[in-house]
Amino acid sequence: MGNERIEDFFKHELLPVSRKVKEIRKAYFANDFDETAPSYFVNRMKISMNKDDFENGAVSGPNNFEKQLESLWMSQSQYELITLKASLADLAKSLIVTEELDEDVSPFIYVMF
Amino acid sequence: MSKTVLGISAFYHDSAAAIVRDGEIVAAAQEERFTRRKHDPRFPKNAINYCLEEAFIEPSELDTIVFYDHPLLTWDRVLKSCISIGERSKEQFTKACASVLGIKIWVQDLVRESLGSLGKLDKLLVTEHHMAHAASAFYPSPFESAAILTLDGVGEWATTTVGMGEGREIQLLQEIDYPHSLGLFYSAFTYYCGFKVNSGEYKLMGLAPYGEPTYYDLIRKNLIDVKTDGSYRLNTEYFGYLHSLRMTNERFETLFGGPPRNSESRITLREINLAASVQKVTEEVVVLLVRHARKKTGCDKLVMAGGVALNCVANGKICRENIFDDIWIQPAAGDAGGALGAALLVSHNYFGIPRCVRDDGRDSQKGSYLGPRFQPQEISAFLERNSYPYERVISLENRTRIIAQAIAEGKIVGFFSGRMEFGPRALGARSILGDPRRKETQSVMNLKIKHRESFRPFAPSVLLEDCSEYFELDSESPYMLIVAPVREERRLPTDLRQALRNGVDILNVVNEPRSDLPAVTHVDYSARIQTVNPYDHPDYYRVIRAFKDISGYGVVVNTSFNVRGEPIVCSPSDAYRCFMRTEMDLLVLEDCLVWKRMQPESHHDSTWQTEFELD
Ligand SMILES: [Fe+2]
Repeated sequence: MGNERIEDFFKHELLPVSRKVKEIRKAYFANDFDETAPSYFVNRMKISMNKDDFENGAVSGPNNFEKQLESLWMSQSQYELITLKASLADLAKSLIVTEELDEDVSPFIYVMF
Repeated sequence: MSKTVLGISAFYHDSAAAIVRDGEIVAAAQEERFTRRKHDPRFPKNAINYCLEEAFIEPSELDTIVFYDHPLLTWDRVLKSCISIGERSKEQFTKACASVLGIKIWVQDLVRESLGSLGKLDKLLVTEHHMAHAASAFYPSPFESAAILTLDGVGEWATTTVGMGEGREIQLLQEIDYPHSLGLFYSAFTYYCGFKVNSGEYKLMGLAPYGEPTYYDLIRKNLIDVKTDGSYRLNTEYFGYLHSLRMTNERFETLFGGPPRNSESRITLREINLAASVQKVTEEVVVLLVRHARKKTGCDKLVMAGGVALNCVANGKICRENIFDDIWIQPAAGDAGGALGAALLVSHNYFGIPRCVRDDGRDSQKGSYLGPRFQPQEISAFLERNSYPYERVISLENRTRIIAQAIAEGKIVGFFSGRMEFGPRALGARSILGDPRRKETQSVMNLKIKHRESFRPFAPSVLLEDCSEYFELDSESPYMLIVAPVREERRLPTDLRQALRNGVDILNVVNEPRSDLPAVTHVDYSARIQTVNPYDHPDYYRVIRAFKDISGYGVVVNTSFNVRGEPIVCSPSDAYRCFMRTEMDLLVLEDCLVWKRMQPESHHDSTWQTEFELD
């Protein structure tokens, strides 16, 4: 059930955005070597955490998730993603599970999600 | 007003909990120790319960609870990565959805459900992943101010950060973001050489000294571009982690001549030289980053955390380069330490609790002995209840002498004493000890105790004051995080690399003595050192002292108390089980001495072979 919804989202929501992003040649991260750049460091805009940062991180319910996604992408001017917010919240709602007890840490991949 | 904060790290790898009260670390432990499942990533219920008990507090009395990672930003990264990759990211997207959208996003609900409360604030606080790493490195350090360097696989977006800490403030000034990651770079080679990602990195590092960096140029030319300030980018076309559930791809395989090594097959010269090459590149990048951190911050002290900070060979190099006057590295440098960092960050930054650096120049990590302790009465009751024969030796002096004598006679001793260590290394609270002078200690410990063959030597625990007699190291290394050379006059001539080139198996090479401390000297004459001072764990210090009185050597072999694939033991019953599964001679459970020869034959146990898989 969960997998079908994920597949659905992937095919009908994510891939169209992906195509659009490629069309406008937008990149969310740098992928090439840059011979001319003196440094690959990014200077952080936010160098420390304030009270709000601590308090506003946790998601409380699908509506809040949707809201948080919207404000994050608004703040980054990534408007093309905002169309995904409602269906993402729906997807997340359908996926809430109790942890699988038997899933092992994969030996093949760094656990990054 | 007093503030008690619970920190939690979970869902990636090696979940953990920590409690900090008014800036002081009260308790910290990894979940795997309780569930007996190595690197257990699940919600750390048991570790949390232990921390609450240690702090004598109910969840509702906690001032707040904090999670060490920002789930929304992690999701932002996953989504953008998959959108960038497109069609090929389907497998990864499916997996990530289940993990992030299915569980991680809802961590606040999970905590509330599991603990019945979110503490007085009635809200789960969240820190940035690398802020938690940075806090775990800076706050417990003995420095008033310091440069901060964090390096790991990936947090939300950041994989490397440079910053500084001063008083109770932490600032992260610069970062390198996913998919460019020194941790993932190292893990890719770990995977390719046939070791487990997330835990086999240590093996790759241990393999490196056998080889020569023959792939160095190839790696530098094709895989990673490094600037003079140490900042870097990876050529993602060679890596699999962006679009698959593998670390490397066909292009990587073509570059290095074939598919990844199968974990069961023999280690060949290719893996050995790849290990040497990737280690050399990593060290170079880390040293450049450290130089940059010095320049950028102007600080003369450095603190480090993140999984890459467990690369103790690179750490040794940083020390020898003398870039900073002093260095402190969080012993739980991986994600487990994020629980502690998050709790410390909230204590000092959110609640504004002043940070007190100790007057005596020592750190506040308490030797990393932050886990459960068992009272002698509890232990003797356990032994009585099960009718396990033992002798109780209450006199510390007598007990210490018996233990040291046993080690000096070549016996292998399971040493269970005081609070369990927090972090991946056993530091004398849950350790197996042996005689470093004996040529056979290494093979006995490997085959009869750990039930494995290994190309890595064991680590020495050396009296702090005697360290320079044996090793070329002039700083403390209380957490076994620094590798340094054995002193030249102690070395024995060998030509191991030639032997390897002639086709001799690596496992035959490792048992050749290379110094008068054969069990702890690696093929390049290096050793992974733990210096032991009289303050953090006086009983352990005394054992090494007593061993010195008998043998003239202020060093013992120290390896973690477990069999291969098993988490380090936590309780007396874990320790007894492990003792009976191995050919250890003596088990020290606080003041109870359990001799193998006195145990009934029927208790001998070989089920470990099915219970724990190879690591
Ligand atoms: Fe991390």
